[in-house]
Amino acid sequence: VQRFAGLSIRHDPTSGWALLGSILAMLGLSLSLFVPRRRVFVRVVRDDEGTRTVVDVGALARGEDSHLDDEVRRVLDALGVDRPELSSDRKAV
Amino acid sequence: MDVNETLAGYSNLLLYSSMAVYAGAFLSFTMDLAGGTQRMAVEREARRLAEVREAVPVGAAVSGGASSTLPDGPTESIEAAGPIPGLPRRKAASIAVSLTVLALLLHLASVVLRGISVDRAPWGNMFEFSTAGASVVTLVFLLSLRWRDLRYLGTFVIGPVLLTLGLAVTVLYTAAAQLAPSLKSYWLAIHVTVAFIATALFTLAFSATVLYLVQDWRERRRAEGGTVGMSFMEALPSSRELDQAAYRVHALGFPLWTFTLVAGAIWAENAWGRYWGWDPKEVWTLVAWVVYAGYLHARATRGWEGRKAAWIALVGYGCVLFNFLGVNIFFVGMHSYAGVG
Repeated sequence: VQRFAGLSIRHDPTSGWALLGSILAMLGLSLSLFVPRRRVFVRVVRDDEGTRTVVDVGALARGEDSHLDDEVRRVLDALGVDRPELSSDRKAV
Repeated sequence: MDVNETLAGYSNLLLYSSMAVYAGAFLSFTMDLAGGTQRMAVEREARRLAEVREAVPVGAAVSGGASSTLPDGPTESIEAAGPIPGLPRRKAASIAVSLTVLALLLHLASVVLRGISVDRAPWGNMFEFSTAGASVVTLVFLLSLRWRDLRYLGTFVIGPVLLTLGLAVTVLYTAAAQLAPSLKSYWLAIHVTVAFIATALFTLAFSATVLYLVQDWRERRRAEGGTVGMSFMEALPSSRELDQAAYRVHALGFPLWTFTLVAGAIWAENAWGRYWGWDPKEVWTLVAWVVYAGYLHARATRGWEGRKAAWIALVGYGCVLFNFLGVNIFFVGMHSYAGVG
């Protein structure tokens, strides 16, 4: 057999874009998995006698969110609410 | 190109030794589990007493975090549970953990020696992949003990690890050898490492899902007033907690699995000149990815919790297992480097 060499040369100009795309896709995926989506509502009203200020804080999660309570507590702390009454009705919405 | 046979031999001996120690650890974990129900009753009582003590405001300094004194939802009760004084020590469990640490050291030494003997990352074939992967599972389990007392799960972690090692040394065993030239690349370290971290996480999530289903079944039976067996399950967290733990571990494993897929495509482009060739391994990795994506979607956007989602997760793990074992045994493809079948 005569000696020979086989060469295969390829050039793919799109590989950089493919890499960029896949990195962005993975970044987006991680964000969607690890950033909780929450809505937090705060309502401030005078009570009936008009002597006290009543602050209601509510939070709504998209899907499940086991740290929703902490979020509410953080808001309460930030507002400086004393003697909060906490209740939770855990329901996925 | 050469292989250091002496080191490879020592590596195998270390692996057998670690299996013996694992067997001891497995027995101890089982004994601990067997004594679990009785202890749970004692523990519950002690916890109740501790709570009563905390609730009394006079003088008593509260040592736990402030969160434990707030009225709270159902999830906090177990997470806040620290060690409670006055409980019997779990001797069998302590022995089991010590044995597991020893076994893991032997196991890791075996993996490292194998790597040195062939002068590459020691996960180039199925034997190496399963031994190295099993060590990751044990490592993750031991690390998770620092975060929470999961020693009750020991039986369900060390048992499968032992089974995997047994399978590795009997069915999957491959003598130390070099890789096919096209696969020699640093991508071996990247792609395969992430692949088995993801697999280890999915395995843990799978265990949690199975335990969740059992716990859920027991809770429903009890609510109906029926009798339930498997009293050791008392020792485990509630079904809700197991469900959430399973979800979190899945959510952690999924991006890693995605990365495995992407890194695999990059390596494929590098080694074989195309990103995607519908190779059986590629296809089944994608299938598992799609199923797990379905699981996460069902939970995140449809609000599926509990049983319905759990079944999808089980199917996903089935695909992972088939991808790992079935594909290599039944199909011929670019990934059939295993020397099996």
